[in-house]
Amino acid sequence: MISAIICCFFLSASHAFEQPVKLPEPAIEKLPNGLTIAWFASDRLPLVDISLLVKAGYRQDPAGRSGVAQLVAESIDKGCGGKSGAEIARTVESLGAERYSNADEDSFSVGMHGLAPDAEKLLEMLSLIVMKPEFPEKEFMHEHARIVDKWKHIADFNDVLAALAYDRVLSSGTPYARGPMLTSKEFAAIRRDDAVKFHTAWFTPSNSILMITGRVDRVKLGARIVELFGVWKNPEKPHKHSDIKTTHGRLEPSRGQILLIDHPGAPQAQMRIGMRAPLINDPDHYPLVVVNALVGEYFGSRLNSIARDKLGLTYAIGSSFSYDKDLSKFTITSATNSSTAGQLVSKILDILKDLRKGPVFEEEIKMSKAYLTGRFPIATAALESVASHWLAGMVLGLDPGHLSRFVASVNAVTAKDIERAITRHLDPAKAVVVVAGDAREITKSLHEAGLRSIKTVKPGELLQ
Amino acid sequence: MKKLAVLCLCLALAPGCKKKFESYGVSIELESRSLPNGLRVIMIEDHTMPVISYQTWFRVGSVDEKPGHTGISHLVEHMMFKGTPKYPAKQLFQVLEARGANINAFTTRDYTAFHEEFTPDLLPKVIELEADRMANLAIEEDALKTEQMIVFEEHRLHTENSPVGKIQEALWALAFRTHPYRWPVIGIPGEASRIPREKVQEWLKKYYIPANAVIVACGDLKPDKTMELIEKYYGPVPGGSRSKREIAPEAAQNEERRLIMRAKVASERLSEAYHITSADNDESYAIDVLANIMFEGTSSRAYRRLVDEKNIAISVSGSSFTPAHPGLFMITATMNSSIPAAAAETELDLIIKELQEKPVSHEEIAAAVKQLTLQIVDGIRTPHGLAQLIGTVTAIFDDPERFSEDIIKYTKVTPGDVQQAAQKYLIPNNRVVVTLVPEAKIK
Repeated sequence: MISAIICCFFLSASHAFEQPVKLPEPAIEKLPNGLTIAWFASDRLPLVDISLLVKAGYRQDPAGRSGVAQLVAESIDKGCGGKSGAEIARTVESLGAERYSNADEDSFSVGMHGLAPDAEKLLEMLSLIVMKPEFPEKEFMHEHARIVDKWKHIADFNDVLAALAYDRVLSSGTPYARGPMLTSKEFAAIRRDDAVKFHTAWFTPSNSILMITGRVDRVKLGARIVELFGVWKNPEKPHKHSDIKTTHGRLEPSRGQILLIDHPGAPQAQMRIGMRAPLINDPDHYPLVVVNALVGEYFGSRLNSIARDKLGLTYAIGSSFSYDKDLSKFTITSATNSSTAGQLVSKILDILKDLRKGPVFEEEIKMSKAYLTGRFPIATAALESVASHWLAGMVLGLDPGHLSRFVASVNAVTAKDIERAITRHLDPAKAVVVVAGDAREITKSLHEAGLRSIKTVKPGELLQ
Repeated sequence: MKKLAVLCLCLALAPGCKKKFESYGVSIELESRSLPNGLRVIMIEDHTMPVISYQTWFRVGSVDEKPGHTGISHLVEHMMFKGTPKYPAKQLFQVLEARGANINAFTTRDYTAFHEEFTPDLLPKVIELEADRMANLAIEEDALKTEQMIVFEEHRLHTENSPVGKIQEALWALAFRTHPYRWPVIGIPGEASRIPREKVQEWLKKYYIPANAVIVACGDLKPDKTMELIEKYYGPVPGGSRSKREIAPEAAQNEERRLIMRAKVASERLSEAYHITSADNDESYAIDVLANIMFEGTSSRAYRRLVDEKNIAISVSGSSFTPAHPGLFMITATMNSSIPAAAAETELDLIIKELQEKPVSHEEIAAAVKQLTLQIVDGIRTPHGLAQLIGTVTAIFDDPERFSEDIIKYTKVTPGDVQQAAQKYLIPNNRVVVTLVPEAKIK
């Protein structure tokens, strides 16, 4: 039934983008314990993906214990329901399947991806992992040490350094400032009990969504879901969470100052330039989506045409918006030779200034809107893509129909909307500029470009 | 009148061939045709998504290059986006991006592919643009210079600035002494920047021609209608003749080769590569199964030993790469701080010894085959993925149907085959070892 609906939608969507788009929506069920079940069924390929989304992430890390969510993600399947981590891994992998467990700022997802005939076995394994994790002490401490070691490697990659520093600065003072881990000292203090408490507080049926995508026998698998997940209980008292708002004063550059992360010997400068942006449900959201496309989303965009095609300064440059529930960011990402870092930063800031000064030409707006609405059927063609957009919308608190309104909303954007959105939200004077690379070479290059206000820090300072 | 035109068109085409493949609950129908100028066309009609993936594959890659102009195939890939007299660069993108199309390309050691993903209404325009740039690409001096600078930045980004890229480049250079696989696809550093315009034009004329190309179109299309358009736009393009690849094989390696590199990294990294066979040898199926048993997932032999039990590495991975010519079985491990790469090498040698001495279990083979099946099915979830699979096998084997037997051949692999592959290929004299050491440690 669902696949028939999809087919009809796609036929109409491909021929008339101007018409309101109706995307496939999941069949929703709710168990008496509050667990939401979302079915995106399709018989197209013999694949199945079963995942549990929990509405809690890094933001919910307890005070003085930042890193718990990350550690729960790494250790949740290392011993569950009387089975060791090795047994769980062997059982899932003997089916040829993959299991995943990831935390981010606002959510946590644990899932199984495998061949359709193995759906029931995968569901059973998932139920053990999410409902009965044991966090055995030895395995827990092993994963703890492994994360510490992985964090020591962040300075191996310039792009990771630039991204982490940029996120730290832009999220400073918000509930997201701690990121996946605030300091090595806080992380060192985390014990098994913290993971157990995090799991008990947030992994509850009423705080979770079970999503099934792919070729499934809904009746048979549905009955098994009731058997396995119907017994899952909510805690008597729901957990209360108070946001923790940390600041990164030592990192934060003053207005107009460039934050430079020193990585001596690195041949290339990685850069992130941008600012905080309005939330996804802001009235200016769609005008900004159109602006972003023409600034740096497609090959003919301003950034790519100037910095890459005309000046040959970089291999890759682009812009994007990213959204958490209560924080959004507009980011320009690029990399260049250390000796041309100043020229590229300066050019990017000029492009932002020009955008602010205007005008944004009618042809650009038309092109951007056509690009976004033309791309939409491609971006949502695969059912997995619609499912993941739907789930992201649930985390961000959007109504389920938001995706179906995308094309109409983009088409409705006017030149005036764009002008207003740029004036309100994209002020180059507020741009945060973070560059990671060889500080000596890059400083020289920045000075040559007339950019003299620089704050240089060592990678170690990112973890305080 | 219209009917007659269609009839004439059909007669002008070489006979087509339609074949349906069904395996593991997946059904794929391939339609192969060709034009008199030698252009091959493979179509897969699939109306489940309103999307078409249109891919143009040329049988040219870094394996066809010679020292002095290495990286030229990759450079031409960049230049292909610089436009023609009819559709200058900006217009090429504007026409397609204004309708949301995804446009890109990639170059490998054995082939180069250009691909677009778009809604069906754009198909005539895509075919027109692709045929136009195959026939009329303009190589302007200024555009070439700019693109050479960009390629230089690309090399910095992916190799010089990345421990992973650095170690990979060194591994291939150490493994091959005479075969063109020894240089990276992007070229020996600096060479691509010096290639003159005339050489680029010569390369273009030699390889980017209908006789050396395959079009793979997959998705929401009608084969007859698509073929009409292809005939209209590519029909007049001179076919040229396909150059024969005459590449001397790499001499067998008879002693281990080692290299120690230094970089600003937190811990040592180990990379090993063993010479193996090419894609057209059926031993490659047993080697793939062997790689999965050793490295796929946290229950794999290497992960359990190095990460879980011995706690010496934060990650270990490996895979078999069997391209058109004999390839490499590659292993990489990132060590825990202060643990030397030699510790991983010792453990990996022990694992290999066990595989050589005792056959793996049927259960391990069954799990590996299911993993490989999942990887294949996952790969064809979108028209782009399916077209890429067909394009790859056509470019390597000259046979678009070659993919159809993969799963069956994996299920036929026995414990004896896996043991034999380990005994034959995973021996010290047949390997190269690159160790990346933190700079501070060397001082």
